[in-house]
Amino acid sequence: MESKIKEKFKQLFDEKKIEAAVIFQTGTIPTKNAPNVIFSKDDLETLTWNPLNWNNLANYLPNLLGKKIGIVAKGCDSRSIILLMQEEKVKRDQVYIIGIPCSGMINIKKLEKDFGEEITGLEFNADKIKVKGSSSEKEYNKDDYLFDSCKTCKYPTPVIYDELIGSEIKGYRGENYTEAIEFEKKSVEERRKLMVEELSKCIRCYACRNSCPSCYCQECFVDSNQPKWLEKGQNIDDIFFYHIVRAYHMVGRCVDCGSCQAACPMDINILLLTKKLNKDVRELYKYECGLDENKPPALSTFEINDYNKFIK
Amino acid sequence: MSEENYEPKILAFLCNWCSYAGADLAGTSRIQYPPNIRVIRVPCSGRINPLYIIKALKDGIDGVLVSGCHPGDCHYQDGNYYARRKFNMIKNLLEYMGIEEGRVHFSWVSASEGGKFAAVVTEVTEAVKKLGPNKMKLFQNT
Amino acid sequence: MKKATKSDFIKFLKDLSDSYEVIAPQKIADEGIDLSPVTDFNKITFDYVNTERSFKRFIFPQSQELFKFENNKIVAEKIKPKKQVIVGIRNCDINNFKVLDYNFIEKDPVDSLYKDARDNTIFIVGACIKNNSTCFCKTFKINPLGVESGDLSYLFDDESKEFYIKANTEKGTELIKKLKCKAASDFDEKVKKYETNHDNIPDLIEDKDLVEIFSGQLDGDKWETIFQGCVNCGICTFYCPTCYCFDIEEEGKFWKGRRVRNWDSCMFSIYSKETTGHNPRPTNRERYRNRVLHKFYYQLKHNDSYGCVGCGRCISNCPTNIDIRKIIKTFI
Repeated sequence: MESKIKEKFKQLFDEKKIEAAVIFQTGTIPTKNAPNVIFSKDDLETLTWNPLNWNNLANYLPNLLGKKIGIVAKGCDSRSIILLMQEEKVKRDQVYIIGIPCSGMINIKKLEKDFGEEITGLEFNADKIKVKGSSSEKEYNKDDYLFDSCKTCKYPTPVIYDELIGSEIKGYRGENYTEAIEFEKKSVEERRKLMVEELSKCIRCYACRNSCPSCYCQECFVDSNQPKWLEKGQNIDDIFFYHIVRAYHMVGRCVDCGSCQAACPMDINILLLTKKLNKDVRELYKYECGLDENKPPALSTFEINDYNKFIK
Repeated sequence: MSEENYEPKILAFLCNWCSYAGADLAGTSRIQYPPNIRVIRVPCSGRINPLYIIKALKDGIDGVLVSGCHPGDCHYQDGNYYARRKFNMIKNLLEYMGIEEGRVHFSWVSASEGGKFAAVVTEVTEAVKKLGPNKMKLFQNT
Repeated sequence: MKKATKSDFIKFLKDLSDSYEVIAPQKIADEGIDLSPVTDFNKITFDYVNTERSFKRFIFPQSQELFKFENNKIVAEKIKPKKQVIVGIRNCDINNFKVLDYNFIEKDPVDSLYKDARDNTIFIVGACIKNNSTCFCKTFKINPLGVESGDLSYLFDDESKEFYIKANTEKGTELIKKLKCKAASDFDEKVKKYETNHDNIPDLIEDKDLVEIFSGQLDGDKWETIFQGCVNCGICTFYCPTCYCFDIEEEGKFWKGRRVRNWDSCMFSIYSKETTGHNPRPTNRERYRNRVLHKFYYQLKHNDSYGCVGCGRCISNCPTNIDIRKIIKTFI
């Protein structure tokens, strides 16, 4: 797999079809891979492909506007590329997409916790993970440690690509937003309590915003000081404000890749918010984002008969 | 403030072409409605960024009313259709996050519906009064 | 050098909790082991390499009220500093005072909030008997097994479950009297036993002069590649024990509110944005360069100490694996 990707990129660099490539490189610690933008084929040496590649690579595209880019894309990455195409942050003829069907990424934090000590080596087989520490060695089932959003991923095979490496993987067929449906059923007080509990962990590093490919605004509303929308402190209402608006900006724009939650250092369940919105958009407007570039995004269009009952 | 004489503060975003004129008509027709609303006139209900609603709630307003032209009547052809989708999503999200249903209201009021405007304001005021002071404000340290 | 059993040491902490708030490493639900105020003394654990976040936030909180105001007047309410004991700080983390003190105390005007918090806190430093692969404290000439810093410092022997405790300040000498302990003579042996554990910690800089190295490369080609993966979140700065940037702002209405200072991060675009709207650090290239240069060049030039202690938190928490060790290596 890796050698095939490398070869393809080498060829693209040689033919001058691309100026930059967005890839994963081997990380400096065994539990991490480094997403990176490279500009020469020499850097392809450290290219890697394994279940630690949870970052959404489409995140780097808006910054590379105008360049010819090669990108490796999982299912979610490809959907984000479509979203960026819809919003004219990237043009189709500007990117060469190498699609890779994805069998799910590993929640390394969960694995680290269960393993108990620092991980010094990881080996991936078809459905097993071999974890090495300084004093012990264990084997885990890969399926137990997949990200929740990967377990219920409907489009593991890229939706859009120039070349597909590997064979197609069938997506999950069931309901993928059960968590949100369960949460909806709770009472208002309970929901509020749980939300406060969850969000009060937030340290406002904005990693969720910055690792999301849909968040590319030049100036985010939290960074605006004229007008100033919210304070930067640790008040729970400011944290609420931030998370409500961040989630709201994801209406019809979230591909459910889970990189926001994976990036969060405090392990906040951020996907709980976006899942609810994705579910509502799907139910009310029959729209799923990142599937068809010619279909307008949910909030950029309307129908005369949209749901109207909540309005007096 | 004691529970009985609690008077909520309600922010009303009214569209210039319909609801604002409707409020005007209610006034000139001498229709009585609760004095709890503070009006902000906006060009169109489509102009209202849901950010404004949340900001108002965060800054301590007890309820928000957003009102615009009836579907099909928009001065800008389709502003309120877009608005409707936005409002639906933000309403769902706020309720989902534990902000009570009844803090945020939406209505279509045309320029000729002075009576409806008064009725809507009465209804909204009662609903907010029932909920009591905004709990989001209670988080604030100031 | 004194020796005490684990139960005596915990009892000592328990006694301290009458007059101090005791902050100690505990297992926190899903977050691993982190410092937090103790409610149950049985929950204190000493089996960790380093705490999830540094103790910086107890001296210099993420969000700190300076004063309240009402109707154009300051409602003067001098905030009394909490008396607290922080247990289980590592040698790398305690070295952040070289940076924080320089910034807050050593030059006029003295930051009284910081100084009060620092003066009212007792620091109990624990030497490391294990390390992570991300540790690089030796780069900054910090001895992970040292018992020289803090008010009290200890080495916890994993096998005999005994604490080797040493008082380093007057405060510490006063406190240690309350601890039931006996004289220890075998401390050097214990240190020798654990010394080899730390052989893998690298010394990246050795004797090289970073000021000289960086002054020729404040800008240039090498900076073009290292930042590419960075997404400009604030994790590295918020987890860093030495980052001290803050932003002061008013909260509330203009007639009633409060002034607070909050942590800020040089990774955010608003950090360097000017009133005109111009931003001298427009992209993550400039922002990241500033972070690196601040730690390894500006600090060194003006303060003669590194702005980094080698705890490795930025490496293990970075979502895109930006590794500060790799960056030092590219320049040296």
